[in-house]
Amino acid sequence: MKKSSWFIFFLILAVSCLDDPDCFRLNNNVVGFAFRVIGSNRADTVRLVMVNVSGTDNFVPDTVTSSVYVPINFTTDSTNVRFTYQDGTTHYLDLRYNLKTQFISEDCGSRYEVSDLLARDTDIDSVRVISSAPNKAAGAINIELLRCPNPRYVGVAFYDMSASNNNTVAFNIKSGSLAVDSIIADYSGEVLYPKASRALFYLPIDPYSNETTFSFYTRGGNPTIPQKLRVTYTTRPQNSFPDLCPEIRRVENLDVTLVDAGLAAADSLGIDEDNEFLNYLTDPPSSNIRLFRCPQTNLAKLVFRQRTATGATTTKDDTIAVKRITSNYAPDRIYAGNRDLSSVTLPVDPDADETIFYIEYTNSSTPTDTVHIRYRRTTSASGIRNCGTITAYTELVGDEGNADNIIVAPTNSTNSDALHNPPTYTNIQVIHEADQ
Amino acid sequence: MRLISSIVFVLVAIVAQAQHAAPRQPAAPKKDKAPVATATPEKDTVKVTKDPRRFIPTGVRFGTDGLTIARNFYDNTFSGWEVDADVDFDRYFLALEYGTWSRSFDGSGNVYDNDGRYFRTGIDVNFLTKDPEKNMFFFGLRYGRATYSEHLTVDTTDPDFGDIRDTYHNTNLHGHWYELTTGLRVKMIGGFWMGYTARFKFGLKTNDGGEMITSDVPGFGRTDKPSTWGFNYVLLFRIPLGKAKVPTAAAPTAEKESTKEK
Repeated sequence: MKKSSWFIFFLILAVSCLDDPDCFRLNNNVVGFAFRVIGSNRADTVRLVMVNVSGTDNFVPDTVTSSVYVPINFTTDSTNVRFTYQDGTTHYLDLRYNLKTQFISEDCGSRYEVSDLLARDTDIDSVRVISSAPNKAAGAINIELLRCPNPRYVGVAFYDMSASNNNTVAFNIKSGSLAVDSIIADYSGEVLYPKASRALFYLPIDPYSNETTFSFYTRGGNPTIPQKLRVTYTTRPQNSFPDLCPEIRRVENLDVTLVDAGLAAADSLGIDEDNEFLNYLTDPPSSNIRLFRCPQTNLAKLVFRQRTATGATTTKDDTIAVKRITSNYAPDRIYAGNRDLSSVTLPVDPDADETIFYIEYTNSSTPTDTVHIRYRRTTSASGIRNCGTITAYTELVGDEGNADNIIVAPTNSTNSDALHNPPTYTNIQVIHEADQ
Repeated sequence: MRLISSIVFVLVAIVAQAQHAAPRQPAAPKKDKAPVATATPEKDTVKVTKDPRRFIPTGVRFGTDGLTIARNFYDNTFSGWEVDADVDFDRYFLALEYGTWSRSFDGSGNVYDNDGRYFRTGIDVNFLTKDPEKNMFFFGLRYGRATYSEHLTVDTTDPDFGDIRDTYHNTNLHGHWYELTTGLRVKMIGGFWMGYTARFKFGLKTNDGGEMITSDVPGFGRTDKPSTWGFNYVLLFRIPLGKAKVPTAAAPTAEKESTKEK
């Protein structure tokens, strides 16, 4: 009996050790490329539209990226990879590698192992292989694609100021985005950032001048009178990598000489890693200029709702195609146009105790909604540099003439009867009937 | 895995050394056989000197691995055989195993086959030293080495790179590895013994510098993991070497008693 137990024990042990190989991702033919700038240890961001790999179909990566992962051809010992950028330029890279085959199992078939990866030929400024063994999946970088530095973008970052709740600082700042319809540089007329919302804009300066003026056409702002930002600088020729790169113009002594009040109440230069002012351009670009805005307290949050069923009292979130939203006090301003919206932030009239918004929908069968709101304004000192007084908007109510589907200061939403900065609480609900 | 292997090895070595170094006490005298010997305690203590002749081999076992033979019938991808032999040196057994091994797979557009020979040699240490029938429970070490060739034909389609049709060869390949073993040997009838050996195989190295990476090494098995397990069920015949029974450390007086019986 004792002997039998031993035999059975070891038999079970032996059988339990039998397993099948894993068929998932057998080939290690995924090569990771990182985009970098010579002389910088920061990632470079590129706008790719296509990557062509010899022997297979075109590969479309993320358009704005600092790295891309490409499967190389494991049926041959070389692959040509061609990168096409958004500006139409292309670069190629010929890769060579060793290839070995290993049979895995009847179910899995064979796998191909790629090793000793090297860059045989390229028209990229510099290529560095940092790992010669490709991977089975995206995640690790094998090759760095380095381009020559050409610093010509000034980074403009926007910050919102708000009153401080303690005595240690005069005011608080936090990153805040700016929505623009476009930004135009005076020397080229090129339209930058069409219909974009960013906290940080990289704007190209004129390297052959000592100043560049950017016109910001803000969303909801006057379409004919832009907010302007002018920067001045000096340039000088420089070539830090004469064996690899052509001469460039180094841009330094950067300063802000004009910034319209609509863009910022204050400005300053950014700080580099050495705690020095970033009054020079870098490549990849840095946040050179910081624009600080006074708190905008007149923003009301409007959300779109939909009844859960026809005639029902309960509602749910709704997303609706909006043609445009305008107001009675600035009829030329379009706060939102041709967009699908579930909520929107709208500035109430800071010079009156009431505002009317008109919401037109893309679907012409949906009638225009008119949102008429009243509120109480209270003005006090802001305590923030350059911001003067600040206005609080409270006791928000809807006009009696509003349609039944317009609910101002809804009781089912907290803090809805006052405007807040940032506008995190729902002030207005626009309710539509359930979809048929 | 390397750490676990080292720990197991050290533990096995310690246990083996402890067993080997432990002083053997003579069997307590039985009252009915030696009543006079208990007259004084000093004279009753007998110092046993280990007879160096106990290292003289008493027998050689030859046999085959039954599982390898059986595998030819139930596994249509396998063909091969293995012969096993060991010879005793007191509680230590010099083991030698030799076999042939060929595998053939056909699936997923791939045809693979290999063919080769292998041998394993090493030492087993018996821990059933007092068993009167000399049954074994052992731990041991092996060094394995294989000579083989392999061949692969691929005819498949990759979703990215299309049709793949190619033939690959690897010839004159060598591989070597190490094993930790444990198992039993049980005397059945007369000179017929049965037993099994469980193997933990590790440290495989091959010289495959060609266009293929070895998939299967004869005697070792699949190479897609750094270590693997093996199992043998051996059928052995023991051939005694000489008629006189050599005393062992476990039974120092056995020779004397046996001689008297004859």
